[in-house]
Amino acid sequence: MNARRLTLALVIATALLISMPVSAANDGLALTFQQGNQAYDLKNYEQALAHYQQLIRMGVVDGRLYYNMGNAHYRKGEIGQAILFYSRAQRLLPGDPDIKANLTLARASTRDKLPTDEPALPFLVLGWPFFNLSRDSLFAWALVVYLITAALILFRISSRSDVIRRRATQAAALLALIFIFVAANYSFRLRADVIRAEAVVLEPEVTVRSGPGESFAEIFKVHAGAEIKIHNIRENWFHVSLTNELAGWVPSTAVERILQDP
Amino acid sequence: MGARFVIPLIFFLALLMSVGSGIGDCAVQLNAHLNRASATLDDNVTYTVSISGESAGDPEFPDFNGFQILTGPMTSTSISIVNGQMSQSASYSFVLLPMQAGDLTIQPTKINQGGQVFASNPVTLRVIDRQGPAPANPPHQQGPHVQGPGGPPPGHAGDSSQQQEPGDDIFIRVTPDKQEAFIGEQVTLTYELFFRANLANVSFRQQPTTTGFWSEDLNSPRQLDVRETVLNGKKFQTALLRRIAVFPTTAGDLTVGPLIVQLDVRSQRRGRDPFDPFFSSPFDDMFGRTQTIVRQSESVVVRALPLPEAGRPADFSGAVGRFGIKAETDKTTVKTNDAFTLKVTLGGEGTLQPAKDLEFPAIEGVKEYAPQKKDVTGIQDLRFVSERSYEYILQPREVGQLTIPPIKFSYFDPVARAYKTIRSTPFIMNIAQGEAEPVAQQGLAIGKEEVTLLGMDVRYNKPVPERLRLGPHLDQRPSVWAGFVLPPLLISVFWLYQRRRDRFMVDRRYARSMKAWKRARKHLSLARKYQHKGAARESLEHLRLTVLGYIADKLNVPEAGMTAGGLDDLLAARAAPAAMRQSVREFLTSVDFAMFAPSQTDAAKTAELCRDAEAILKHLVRLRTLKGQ
Repeated sequence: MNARRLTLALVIATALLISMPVSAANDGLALTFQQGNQAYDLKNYEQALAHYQQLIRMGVVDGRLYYNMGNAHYRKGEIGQAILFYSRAQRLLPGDPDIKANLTLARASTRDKLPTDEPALPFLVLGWPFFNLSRDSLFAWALVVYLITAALILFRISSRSDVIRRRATQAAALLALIFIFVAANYSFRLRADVIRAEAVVLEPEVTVRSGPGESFAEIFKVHAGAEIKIHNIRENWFHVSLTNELAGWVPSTAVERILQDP
Repeated sequence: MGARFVIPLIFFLALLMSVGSGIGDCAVQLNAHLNRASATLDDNVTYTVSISGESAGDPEFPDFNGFQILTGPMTSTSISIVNGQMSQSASYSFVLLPMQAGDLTIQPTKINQGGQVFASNPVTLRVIDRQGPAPANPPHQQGPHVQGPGGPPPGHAGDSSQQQEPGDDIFIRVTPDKQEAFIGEQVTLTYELFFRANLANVSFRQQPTTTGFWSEDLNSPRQLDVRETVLNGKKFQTALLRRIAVFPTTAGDLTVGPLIVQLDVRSQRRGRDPFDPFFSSPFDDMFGRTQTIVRQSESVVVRALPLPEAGRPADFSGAVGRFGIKAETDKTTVKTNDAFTLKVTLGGEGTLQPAKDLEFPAIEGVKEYAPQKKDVTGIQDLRFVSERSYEYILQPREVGQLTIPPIKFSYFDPVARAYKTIRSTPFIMNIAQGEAEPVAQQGLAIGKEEVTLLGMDVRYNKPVPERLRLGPHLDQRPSVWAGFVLPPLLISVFWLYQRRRDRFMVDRRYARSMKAWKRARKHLSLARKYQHKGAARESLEHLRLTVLGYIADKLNVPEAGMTAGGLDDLLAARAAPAAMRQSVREFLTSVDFAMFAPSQTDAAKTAELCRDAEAILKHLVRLRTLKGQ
């Protein structure tokens, strides 16, 4: 068995695995997207949103689509929906400057003044992939680095030259460290996307109560666009907290999770 | 020279003789005196207290209320013998500057000698106000030299009566060029030193205060340029100390404070004290003693006049002096959108510091950029001169004749006592057609503006992407996780394969053992093939190798020369079952018999032996004693 051929085959097979199902060129999808954009240009935001929603029903999960939907909601004055879709877009395209700018603008339009937790510089440096790469990109990068490391190990096993074996070992060790770094960033991204279960208030004004029911006392009110964190679910009520540490229960219909996957 | 040695010797002997009687019995006496009885506020006086007799403690000096201590205390000690009585004395001197007019009394200096307090006499100085006679005749103004109450003890080495007082012949004269001036008008003050003494060093102690003025230094010579002059019939030496220009900034009577200098004066000796050589240094004999004195000029009061209201133009700039205006351009022919520089220069006698910036008239069809302003000042013939230039960068936008109107400047002329307005010469320039909007191409670093945010809005939609992302996330697809699972499996398999291959290459026993089954099957297959062909001998040969070769490979023994008996011994050594050994032995015997008597071996017998070989092989494969090889 030729180790080099095996290595090459391994890399090609994985590249195919990653790329094949992620995106697809489809004239029908592109046409619907185009129709949505045209309706937006004509200031017919309802129509634009209808086209965009159709794409979602067709299985499109794309940051650019969510961004345009955020714009349409913003134009309609639906700040909560705008922030929701900008946030969804940012999950898929974290480094996109347009999404960041529009999300900042939309947040500035909200009524509730909530503190934003800016990460410290070491986190910004070490977590650069976390802040700038999507969950898919991080996963793909981790897989690619993992496969190259595996290929180097195969190469090392097959080689008869001591020099080549030593070099391959060093390179594999370095790549293993890179893999740990990327994988750590991926796990944090996954945690942020899935486990934290962030959500956005959509209704103009929501009363936060001390318990999961209308009979519980009112604690405070939040308004459309406020970004909250869901901690617990009881029937149709979410136990949520704000960035200013205030917490309480809200009806599940008043908010929507940023991550749509169950 | 003989006296120099004899006199101190006599003095020393006398001192020895009087020990315990002469000095110890003397009471302590303190005498205070001033070197003058009266002074002006600009004169300094020397206060000396002489202490004679046996003294162990330090004197307590009074608070010199009403005086400023310029120097002191300066200490000197002396011993004198009068009529065979020897006395010891010390003197302390202060140079004082009276700070207020009137009779100023200096309280006694005290000394505590064993619980007993001795005090000097108080001294009084009459201080005359500055407003008294002008210092036109300073030697006469300064009061006569008066010995303080009590007077110095006889034979005192520092006795001023034996020296010429240098202060009487030294004074500073300040001369203003005018007594009154308009606000902003220059007043020149000249400070000159007059002296009739031997000066060693002159240093400034305090510069004139110029509160209410803006001042400029016109001349401060580093070295005194001394010349002779006659003043009131007396020959003086005179030198310029400083010359300053002051410009009143507010109306009213404004005072320029005195200039205070410190001078080292070498005194001329008149008499000769017989004991003096004993206490004086050879340098004193050669140059005379050096005394430090302080002199100060008169203060100068300038009456500052406000600028007249009458005739004041509306665009009066605030400048006072005599000025001119000039305008020039750096180009004569200009194209549209081509920038050129118009330089307007104001200059003349006086200061432009308070002047407002020029007002440049707006010209239609010309873009004007903020001017660059530059101020230059200097001294010319003891007059303060200023120059201010404005560089306007202009950019004509229209073709045709461009007229740059005269630029006006209004100032107050203190000599003419009137306001004046001057105008620059107007320009007419021909503007030709140039390239459109060349400013950026020319790289002009001017006229840049901060970007003004007119409003906030969301950024525009994303265009239709070439490919749209579909379906779940990558990590939600099981097929992709295969990428993580497969490599370890592949690596493991490959590693095992490599390991086996390596052992095959180096371990012959292992290699034979591993290949034994394969070889045996091959021989059995060939045996059957030859049996079908009717080649009994070849078939029997392969049947023999099937069993014997297998056991030889497994046990790593040479198969050549191996007999049925030898093989049985080997199997017995590995604890093979007796039934097995017997079947192997019988099979090999049958094969050997058939090979040696092929005529008696038919096809059926060979086929039976093939079946036997296969059965034995299956048993041998299961035999544990052979497996571990």
